[in-house]
Amino acid sequence: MLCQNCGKNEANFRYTQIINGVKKELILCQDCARKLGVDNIDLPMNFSSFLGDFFNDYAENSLLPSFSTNDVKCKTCKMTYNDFINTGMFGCSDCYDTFSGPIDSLLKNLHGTARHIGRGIKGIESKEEKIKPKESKKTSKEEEKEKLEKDLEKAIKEERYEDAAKIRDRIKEIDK
Amino acid sequence: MNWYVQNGKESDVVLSTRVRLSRNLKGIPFKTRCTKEELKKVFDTLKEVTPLLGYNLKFIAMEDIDNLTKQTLVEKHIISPDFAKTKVPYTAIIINEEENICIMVNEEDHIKLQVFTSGLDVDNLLNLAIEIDEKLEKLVNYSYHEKYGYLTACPTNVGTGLKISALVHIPGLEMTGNLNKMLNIVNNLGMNVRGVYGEGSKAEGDIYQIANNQTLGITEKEIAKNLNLISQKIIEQERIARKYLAKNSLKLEDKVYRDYGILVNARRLSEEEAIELLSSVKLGTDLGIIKELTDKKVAELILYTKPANIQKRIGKELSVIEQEISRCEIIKQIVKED
Repeated sequence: MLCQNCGKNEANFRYTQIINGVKKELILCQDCARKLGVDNIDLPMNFSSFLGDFFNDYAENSLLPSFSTNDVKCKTCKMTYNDFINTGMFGCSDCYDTFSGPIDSLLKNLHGTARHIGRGIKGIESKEEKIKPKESKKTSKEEEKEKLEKDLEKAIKEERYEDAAKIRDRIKEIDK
Repeated sequence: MNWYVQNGKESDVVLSTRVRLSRNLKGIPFKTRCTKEELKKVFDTLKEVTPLLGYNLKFIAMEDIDNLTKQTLVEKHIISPDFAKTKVPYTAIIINEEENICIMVNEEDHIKLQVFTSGLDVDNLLNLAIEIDEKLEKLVNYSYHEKYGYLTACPTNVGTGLKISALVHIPGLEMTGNLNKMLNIVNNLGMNVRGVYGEGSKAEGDIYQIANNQTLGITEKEIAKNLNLISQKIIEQERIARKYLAKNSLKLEDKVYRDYGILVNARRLSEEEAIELLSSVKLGTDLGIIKELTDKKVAELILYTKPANIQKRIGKELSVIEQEISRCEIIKQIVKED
């Protein structure tokens, strides 16, 4: 079938548009699709709000009444919680403090925890630097964690994946 | 020869590894809330400090790069497709000649520090990324929170801001019907798997990207360790699958040599067909069945048959049909080389 736009090339692209119940369809070749700007249409699903909605569902339990309206605004960038729900992204660093209530629960659902334990910038010691070297005494928690990590490796090597998942969850519990 | 056409460790299964750190500058809003002036401030700051970073890095504004070259960078997996298409002003890359270091400026975050290598080499790559991060941190002020770590626009990156990913080629698992099982296992262990080309559970060319999901409440070393562990598992299983296939050697030989035949003799090949043929031919070469090719030639074939790279190599823009014809000419050239 030939392209409806140029009538020259073989068509391999079908663009369908349904707006307010009115359906339009174009059968195009790749060149015309690119020229008309329809070859890289993002998925019809609005991913940014999908992500935001996902966060919102989990955060609902911890929402204070003021968060569900436009009352709370970040002082620096003027973003409201609704703005975040619609885009899935924060506006500035201060948003993390402004919305720290719902943020904590959504981070727990995303990462299993809401506290950073990795590298820090100079002037702020990260927990990594505080881990004592092997020769000195370890806390029982750290010892348990080390043992669990060894078990996790072993479970993966032996393909006991259900056990591995359970061990990983126990490690996460210790880190909380 | 840059990293994307070289072979690294475990290259039969792992094509390449990438380490990416997301960072933002203190005192400037994230990209979603930036005014033009604020974007320019990020742009100018990074431009100023580039010569002080070392590594022979060059600061190049995206508007100074033509679309075709941008697309070749996407095809090499050096910048994201969104970044290549974006109309946002004051975007740039900081990149070296080997193209194994590429910092995106004003993508989703102010700074996306990326380093790449061929094959699987997570620890060395992470060390390089951290080395550059520490240097950069001395020159600019990062946005960092005592509780939440490095702050990012999207909460999926907050904390370490670290995403490590590996591109794996797993035709063996696909052909032995073990693909879904492997994908489920990887998902259950908290990693993200997605096909690089095509949609659905079977990726075109059997190429998948494995990446960590968790960036907060985990140390950088742990992320690296987990990704290494899972990659090693995938490598082991893929090699077992390939060994099993090689036992039925006539069937496999026939398949890969037929695909090789089409690849080197066709007069016209679509991008989709080339991806499938190359997957088969790479498998044949990895297993030593196809003797006419080397690992290096396969890596070159995979890159230089992609649309923008074809046009860059020919030296001009081509229509899709012209690309399909040139693709075959380029394949013949590469195969003939010494």
